[in-house]
Parts: sequence; C-alpha cells; structure tokens
Amino acid sequence: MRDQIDISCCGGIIPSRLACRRRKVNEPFEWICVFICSANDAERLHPTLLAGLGQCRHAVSATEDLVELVNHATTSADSLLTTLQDTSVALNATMESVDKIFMAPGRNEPKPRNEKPFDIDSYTASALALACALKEANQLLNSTSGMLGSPRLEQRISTRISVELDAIAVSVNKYNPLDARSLKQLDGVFSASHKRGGESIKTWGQLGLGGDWADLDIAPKGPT
Amino acid sequence: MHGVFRELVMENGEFRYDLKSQPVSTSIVQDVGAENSAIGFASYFFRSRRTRPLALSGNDTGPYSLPWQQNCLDGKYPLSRFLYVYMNKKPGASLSPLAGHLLGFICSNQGQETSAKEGNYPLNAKVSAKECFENL
Repeated sequence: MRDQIDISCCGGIIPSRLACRRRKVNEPFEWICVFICSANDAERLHPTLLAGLGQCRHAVSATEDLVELVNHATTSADSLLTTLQDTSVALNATMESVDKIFMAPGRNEPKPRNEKPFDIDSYTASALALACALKEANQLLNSTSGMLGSPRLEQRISTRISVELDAIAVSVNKYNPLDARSLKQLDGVFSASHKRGGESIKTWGQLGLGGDWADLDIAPKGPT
Repeated sequence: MHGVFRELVMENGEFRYDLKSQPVSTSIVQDVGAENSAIGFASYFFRSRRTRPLALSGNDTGPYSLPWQQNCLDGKYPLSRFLYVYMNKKPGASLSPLAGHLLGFICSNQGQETSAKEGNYPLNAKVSAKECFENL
C-alpha cells in the first residue's frame, strides 16, 4: 500500500511551497521533501530550509515560479479543470511524479544531505507546482467567497455552506497607543512585496508613533 | 488565515522574511500580548485582554472600523470573511437525512446562538436561511 503524500502549501517566513511525503526507503521511515519555489528563492533559502527540516534528509529543488502558477490556477480554474478532474487527480499525479524521481534508475538511493540537489525535469516540476497551485487556488476560492470569480473548482469537490462570520483582527500590545491604520500601511508592515504601492515599514515611528515608540522596531507575528 | 490575509491585505505578495510565525493563532496573540513592539493577526475569536485590535480601512484616509460583529455584517470592516462547513455533496444532489439535520441545526437560531456563546459571530437570519434552503 502506498504511503500517503502530504502536500502542504506552506507560506510564512518562507515564500515557497513545500511538499513532503513519508516514504519507506529503508527502515526506519524517513521523510523525502520536495521544495518548490522560484529560482531566486531556491538560491537564497535552500540552505535555511534544509537546516529547518529536522527529519528531512533529502530535498529536491524545483525552480518553477510558483507564484505565476498560482496566479494562473486562480484565474484560469476552468481551463485547469478540463485537464485535471479535481484536486485528488492532481495530487495523485504529483505522487506518481515523486515516485518517478526517486525510483528512476540511479536515483533510487538517497542523496547525501549536503550534496548539491539534482535537477528535476521540467515536466515533473510543473506537475508538482501545478498540484500545489491547484490546491492553493482551491483554498483561495474557498476562503474568499467566490471573489476570485470561479466557483466551479470547489463545486466539483464539495458543497460549501456559510455557517459563521469571522473577523481577522490585527492586534497590538495593549500598551501600544496605535489605534487605526490602512491596509496599505499593513502591507508595508507585513509584506516584502508591497503590492499596494507603499514603502517598507520597519519602525513604529513610520506608523506615526512618537516618543519612545518612534525608533522601536516593529515585530510582526503571523501564522505559519 | 495565512492565505486570506495575504490575499486581502498584501494582494498576494510575499510575507516579510523576518515575520515571526507561529503554528496556532493563540500563540500569535500571546506573543503580541507579551511583547510591546509586536503586531500580529489572528481571528478576533482569539482576542486577549493583553492585546488590542486596530481599526482598519481599505482606504488610506479612512473611515476606520473595528472588528465588531455589526461592522463585519455591514461590510465596513475590511478583513471579515465567512467560515464554512463543507458537505460531501455534489451540486444538485440531496444531502443524507443525518447531514441535513446537522446543517439544519447549524443554521437554526439555536445553532447560531450556541456558536455565538462560544465567541463567534453568527450569521444574520437572511444569510443563514439562504445557505440552508439552498442545500437542504
């Protein structure tokens, strides 16, 4: 029986996606992880990622630009569905792709941890990234109440029913005098990309606080 | 949460690389409550007496709204969203009796009041009725 693949589209401090599966190569079980990110991110973050993956002895870099694929999957969900019946098909395809990587002749032995990661052919990288992108697109569609324009993706899988209202609160310490800010300013605080057009905001003084607060660095917190 | 914030606030940009990430929302709120210089985001459900929510606006000049229930219902608070239950039912198919009863309870006054007692924001009657009638 095949081990279950666990694809988690991670974010947080690592602007990348991580797909891991537990696979029985030799006793005991070990993790084989596939790290999908842009070429620049791979170069910059790969050592950090490897160091952080305690159980993950072997990693493969795939230099696909996942952001592009996520955008594509989000805006073209209908066209994706013509080739991928639903998310489970995509995940199965991914699992098979992972199998191909590790079971191909000469590649079925684990690589030493610090060895330069070997290349994946573009087809495999695309399949992995696409599955991950599709999953993320589905999550986005689920979480934004159809704002992205294509409810078909989720309808194929299940029926979604609104049952509660939720507010995402942006909170500060109770001693912090800050009261109100715009989404553009939050983008400046939390984002590295600043797509709303603002500047990077690093100190409380940049948000208008004076006195002892002015030079104090902002410490942003968020979910993984 | 991560994806919604990224979408609504950062227009799908990437998070700052020095963002301190926590696996659960309660840890984020605790961090903000324990550190004067911290700022974090989590569902208002996880509010704490040691933290204070900011009033927010989608416009650079306001008006700013706090994450209160009415502001979410009115669409004034820019970071509100629905939470969902997913039923294993294709569009057009009918729910099993048991699943139908569960959904009916969730959407009922009793179900919504139970949810509100736990600190959630209930749906208004119009939305709740629509969600149930379309799926029962």
